[in-house]
Amino acid sequence: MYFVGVDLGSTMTKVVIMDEAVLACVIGPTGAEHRRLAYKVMEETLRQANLPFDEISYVVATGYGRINVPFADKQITEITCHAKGVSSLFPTVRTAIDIGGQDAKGIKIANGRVVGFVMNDKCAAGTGRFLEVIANDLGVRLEEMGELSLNSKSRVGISSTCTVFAAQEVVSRIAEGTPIEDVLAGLHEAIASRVYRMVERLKIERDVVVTGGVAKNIGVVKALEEHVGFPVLVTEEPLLTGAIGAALLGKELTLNALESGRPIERGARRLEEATFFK
Amino acid sequence: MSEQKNPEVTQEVPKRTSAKKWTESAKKVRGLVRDMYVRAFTEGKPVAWVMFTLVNELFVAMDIVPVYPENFAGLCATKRVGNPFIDRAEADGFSNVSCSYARIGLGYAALWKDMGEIPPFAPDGGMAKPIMTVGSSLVCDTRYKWFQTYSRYMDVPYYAFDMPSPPAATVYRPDVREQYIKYNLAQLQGLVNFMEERLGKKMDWDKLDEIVRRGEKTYVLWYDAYMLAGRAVPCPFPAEDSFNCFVPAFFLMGKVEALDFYQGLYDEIKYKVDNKMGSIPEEKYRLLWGGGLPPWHTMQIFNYVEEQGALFVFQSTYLPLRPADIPDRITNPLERMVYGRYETAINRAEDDKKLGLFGLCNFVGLGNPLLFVDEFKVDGVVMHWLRSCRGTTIGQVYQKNLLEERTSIPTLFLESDMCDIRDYFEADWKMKLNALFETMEARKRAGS
Repeated sequence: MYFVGVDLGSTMTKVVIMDEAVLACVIGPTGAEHRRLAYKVMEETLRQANLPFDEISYVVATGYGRINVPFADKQITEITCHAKGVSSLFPTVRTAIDIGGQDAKGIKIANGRVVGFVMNDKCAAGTGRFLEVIANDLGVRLEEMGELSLNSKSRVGISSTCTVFAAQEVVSRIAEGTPIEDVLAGLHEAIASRVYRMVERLKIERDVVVTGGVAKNIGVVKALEEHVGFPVLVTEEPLLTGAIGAALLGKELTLNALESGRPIERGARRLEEATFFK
Repeated sequence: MSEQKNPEVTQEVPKRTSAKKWTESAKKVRGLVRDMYVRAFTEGKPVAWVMFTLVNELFVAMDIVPVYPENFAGLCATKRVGNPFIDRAEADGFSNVSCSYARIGLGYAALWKDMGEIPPFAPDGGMAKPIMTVGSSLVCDTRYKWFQTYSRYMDVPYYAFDMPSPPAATVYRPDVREQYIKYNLAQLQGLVNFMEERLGKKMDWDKLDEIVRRGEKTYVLWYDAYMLAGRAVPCPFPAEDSFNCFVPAFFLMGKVEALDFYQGLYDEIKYKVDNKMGSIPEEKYRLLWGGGLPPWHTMQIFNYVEEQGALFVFQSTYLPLRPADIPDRITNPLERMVYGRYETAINRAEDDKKLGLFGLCNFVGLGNPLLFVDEFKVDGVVMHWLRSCRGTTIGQVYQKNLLEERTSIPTLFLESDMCDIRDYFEADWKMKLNALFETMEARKRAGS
């Protein structure tokens, strides 16, 4: 049996196909055309796994665009899916911190189940978007920001209140001649402190797992470790946690239904683009 | 200058924002509110703009029509006409994180001054011109300067009424009690003196006594009705109705209408409880609104929750405390008011003591959600972080931690504001609520 998890995030769309393990995964940009792209990423993943869609037992969609996945059997929020995905990879997790393109969230987990969560609201500071904006302004590649910042000798203070103000601050620091690595280290600290303050409302407990695109930035991860006071864990592919969790939840639902003899609740399963008008 | 409009561009029409009313009593509140504003224009009596301070009885006795800008702000938010007032207040320099109740009222006063007339989009005809403003210290400090500022916009005298909450940690000390009662009596007497001076007439103490005693009966009915509903399974009186039905207790206290209203509410709830009449067909999840003012701009969100099979069976924000038994030997109505307030604080301390929390909770009106979780069979708690209300937001993390330590039910923080629609993001709220439902479902499945 094969199970699919689709995580339609604000910046990236992630699809995984699993049986006992991940068979195939594709990550593509979400963009404004995400209604079309979810389906394209799905097709690409099926191609990688060499499977026809008919052989997929269950599809769970998650992420902010989850309602725009017409081939999904069920929609489940990213909170539940991330918790499931992280717990499957790190069974000892108590706190998951997910920093995505446009939101950051903290999830408190006990025995693999969500016991509480917090999310940022309508603010790019403290998310991947913050890094994207600054990378663009500085002409630095997003992927190299983390490593660069580790060379910092004297981290500068950057405001974490507003992305636009922070961008201005960065430009003026560079103009003053501050080394770029010190500015980047300051930026990472600004994100980490903002995320830490939010997640600490849940009382952060060990083990802490960091996921989402920003988890690929070693500078932010190190800054977060400074705040929590101990090492945090990072998944091998931090973007896929939600999709893995979605696939696993689909598997759980299917197996539970089969075990109890209940019919499996299915969606429309139309492997096509979503539109506003259907 | 003629107004140029692009015919291709239309403004989004606001959808229905208020929640469905589940009880006949809640349906009556809108009419009572409209009457409050209309009467201020039509009765020909002097009008005061007053901060809610548990002293409505004094205004009723002096034949002053109290108008509550706090209520007016909620009304504006419900009608989605609050933001032009907010914009005007911010243009005068009031911070966008200062209380949005205050910003709406201040913007209203400023626009009135600008236009030389009541802003035409003010709901229910707006707030009538006052002869005085009364600010207070109850719950938060903004309430002093907010009403002082009104007095400047409207060019009328201002009275600052201090009403500290009885100190939780020392509430049993006789010397504290004596000082508290003495101080509060002086404050009440000072307000009476101010009214007398402003109106040129004396307080009718017999009339006040009658009004205060009527208020005491009203309070008991209010408390009994709310508790009866919260305990009931199924619950016939969800939080959105409860958020409506506190209005007479806050803004009409001492009046016959308020007493009649709560008698009617109690009778209606009792009938429904006795006959097992709930609100929704199946209460899959029973929720508690465990802190923070409601989103007046989008009360309809409560109906979204109900569509998912969940019901807010209680709210601990506008909460009557266990009423005091005020002895007949106390014949001075002002003393009865202060005595009642102190004794309800002791009742609160007694309740907190049962939880081992004595001395921590100081607010008069804000309930501790932990008190209701078991008794009201609650599956989850939702708290509202308000960008512009410190008074009801501070302490929520503490309450959440207590819930986490002592229960296994989940708590959800929603973020927005009580009135400022700019802080509300519906898709985010719905996602978080859905995640809460999934969490409660998983908990039920796991049998914990």
